[in-house]
Amino acid sequence: MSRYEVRWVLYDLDFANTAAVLRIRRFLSTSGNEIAAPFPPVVAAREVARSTDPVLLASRTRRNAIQDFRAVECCMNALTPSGDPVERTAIVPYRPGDPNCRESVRQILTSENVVNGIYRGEVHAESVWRWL
Amino acid sequence: MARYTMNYFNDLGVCHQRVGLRVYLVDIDNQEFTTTTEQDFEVLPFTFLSAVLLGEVVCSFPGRTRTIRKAVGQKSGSSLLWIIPCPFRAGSSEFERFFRELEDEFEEVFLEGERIDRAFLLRYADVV
Repeated sequence: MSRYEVRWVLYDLDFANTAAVLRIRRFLSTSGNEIAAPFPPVVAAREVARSTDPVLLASRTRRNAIQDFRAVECCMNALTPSGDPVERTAIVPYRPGDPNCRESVRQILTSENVVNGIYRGEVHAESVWRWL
Repeated sequence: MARYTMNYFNDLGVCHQRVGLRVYLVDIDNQEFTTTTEQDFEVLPFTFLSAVLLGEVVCSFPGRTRTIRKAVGQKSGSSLLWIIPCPFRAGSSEFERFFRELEDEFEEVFLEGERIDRAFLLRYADVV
């Protein structure tokens, strides 16, 4: 079984009138542990067909202008083989101020096997002037 | 370093009243430097300064606030960065105005999003 699946999600950046198709890798399993990353209905509603346009990558490398996307880092109700809590990251594709942003966080936290989570906002590895 | 009393609006729409927010400088080794009042009034956006409250700080933000890092003196080769908290919710008109007032063709601005800790996130997202 593949450890992850690839999905394309329309993601609103923090800056008004800016959005991009985000290619995310949704974790499905780790070392036989079948805990998948949350992908609740309100987030799935932003899924788009595979795009041939340049897309942003959900990556922590500084090669991307956006270092981290808005997400909830979830602590799951499971342990890794080494005894550490399983962690999964769930993207929040709605801009703050959109009611679906808060609803996304609520649905992620109430997803199956999610114990709790930390919210992290967008982090830009390059100057934000390109988005204004 | 300057510490301002302000209302901070998190990404989930909750207003944290009378939070203490620090403004300071850091160098490439992350050593911190105090800013003067004159420097603050020269660099900080009017949107930020006009939102400062009189009186004491009541609480702290449960996590890490939304923060701007602004390069200063890039033209002269300086490597100092201003660390400026952004108390306005992303997507709001104040947020846009804050960045417009910081805009400078020579000096870069970076955004670090906020982090909201576990117990408080459950409350702010109406889970508990």
